[in-house]
Amino acid sequence: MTKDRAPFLLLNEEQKMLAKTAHEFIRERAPAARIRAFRDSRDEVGFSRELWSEMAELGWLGLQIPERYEGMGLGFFDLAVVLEQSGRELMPEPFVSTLLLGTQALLLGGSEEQKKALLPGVAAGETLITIGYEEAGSRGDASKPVTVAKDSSDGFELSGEKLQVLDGHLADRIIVSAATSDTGYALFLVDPTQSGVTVIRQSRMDGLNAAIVRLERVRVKSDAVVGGLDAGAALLGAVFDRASVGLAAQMLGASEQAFTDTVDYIKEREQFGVPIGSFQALQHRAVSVYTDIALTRSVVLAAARAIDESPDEVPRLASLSKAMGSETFMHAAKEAIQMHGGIGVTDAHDIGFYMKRAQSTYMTFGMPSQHRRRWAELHGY
Amino acid sequence: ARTDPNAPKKQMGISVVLVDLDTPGITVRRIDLISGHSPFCETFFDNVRVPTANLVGTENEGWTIAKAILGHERSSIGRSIARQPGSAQREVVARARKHLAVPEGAIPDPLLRDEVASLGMLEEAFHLTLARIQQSAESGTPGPEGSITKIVGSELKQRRFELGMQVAGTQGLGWEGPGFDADDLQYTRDWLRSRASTIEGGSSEIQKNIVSKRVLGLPEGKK
Repeated sequence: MTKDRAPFLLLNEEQKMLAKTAHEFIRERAPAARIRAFRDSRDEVGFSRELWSEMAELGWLGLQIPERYEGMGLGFFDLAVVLEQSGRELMPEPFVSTLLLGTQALLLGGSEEQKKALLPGVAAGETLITIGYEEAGSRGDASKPVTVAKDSSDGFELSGEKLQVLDGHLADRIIVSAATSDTGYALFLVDPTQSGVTVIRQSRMDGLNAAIVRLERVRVKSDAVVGGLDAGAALLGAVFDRASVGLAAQMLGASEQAFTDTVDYIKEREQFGVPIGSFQALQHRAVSVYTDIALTRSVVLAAARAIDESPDEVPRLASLSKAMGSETFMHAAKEAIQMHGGIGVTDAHDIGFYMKRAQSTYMTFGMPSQHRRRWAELHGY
Repeated sequence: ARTDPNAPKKQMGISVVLVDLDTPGITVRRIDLISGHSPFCETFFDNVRVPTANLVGTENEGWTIAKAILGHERSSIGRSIARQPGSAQREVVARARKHLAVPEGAIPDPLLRDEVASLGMLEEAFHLTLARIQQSAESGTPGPEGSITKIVGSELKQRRFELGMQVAGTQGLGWEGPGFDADDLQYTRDWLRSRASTIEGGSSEIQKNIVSKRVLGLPEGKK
């Protein structure tokens, strides 16, 4: 809080209602156990398109999309309310790829034509957009893509390979980063049905869907550039900030659910004739998780508010919420498994999926130590 | 003081009385703390006579007053810990610049910088949480989070002084006299003082017991 006044950190009545409705809908329709079912049946989609359409009808996918692109015209804060609830049940639907990567890239850097062509489809639940930025050896540093964009007669020719592109197996558009000079890069909208694009589905431990996207001399016109040429770094950085906050909202929901399930479990589970939740050794550790979650909630709400109201504060609050959200989720997941005991390490129990997601989210959009380094830089040390 | 030795519960039968310290029979002995300060003392009463008019409140209902005093202590500790947002981070960075001779730019030791950033992040999260608690109290629906402020605030205070001492290295080892500057000597005393923050006003362990029972609803264990 560099300003004198703290941001407003409460939900208004509509947002409280939205949170409640989303919580009930998701608990009923999208329990975490679906991840096991999608995995075991080797489902080709890996999530439910029907559910995605229903959420579009409820208005949730277009919450933050302006009304002129057929969205609800609300803020990122409202989206964060739904993201938190989606995180509770580790929903594998394309929230991160489409709402946090693709949509934010278009909102922040897209041309009027690009936004008009794609955002209404996102709000309607029909269009999936993702970003390919991870490459072999990039290890979380997206700033030096090996993928190149060569000038061609009426546009560019893209060559390279992107890894773990979230929902790349089904995306209607993939935005890829590609070097345009020795130092700069740009983001390009690619239609994966174009010639030269190969998409190979990947299987991850965490229930999220991903693909390798190979580009072999893929020709795109100059209107495929999102944002400016050589301006890819600034744009992708701004997209990652928003995506970090959105992911932190999901991590908050997931931490909360893993914690609630664990507290319920230790109240029931008996050992030596008493519930294990009566042991102080577990009680104090449970309070420690509770404390982390309460702190994380404050920073996630502040960061989401800043996206709508104070853009200058976004970089440091995004790093704060990503670092703290990651550590809290990891802490909550580890304690959840430990307190569940033997059943916690079996595939039959859902709690293990929280551990897997905690690891994947920890590593996505920069791990906590990277965000702490950035925080230090932003504070001048 | 206990006014009814036969009260059915130990919290009953206590009364609060005002005593003039000049009354015969009172001995006061100072208690020195590890920091060298002495804000506390032991007070011995040997057949000290106090007029009935000095009774505060109702006889045998002193526990209610004592609880209010302890509650006040707890909340004033919380307020004193809160200080200015960002001040803990600024303080530690300033000490790092002084002792490591880095007048500007990045702190060269990446591990130390990471710890300072952790502290700065915890501090920001703590202040945002205080703001959120206050906002929800003002909105008429206070949440249960107020219960964690003493736990987090006291931990933040200790981490701040630990890091501030760490960057000072051996210059933080002075007690008094030549070879140490006044700020460092004071800082060392304040670091020692900070060890009490997780004890006074209800220890962190007691606070965790309270959150465990009242907020999480976990069953009470055998005592």
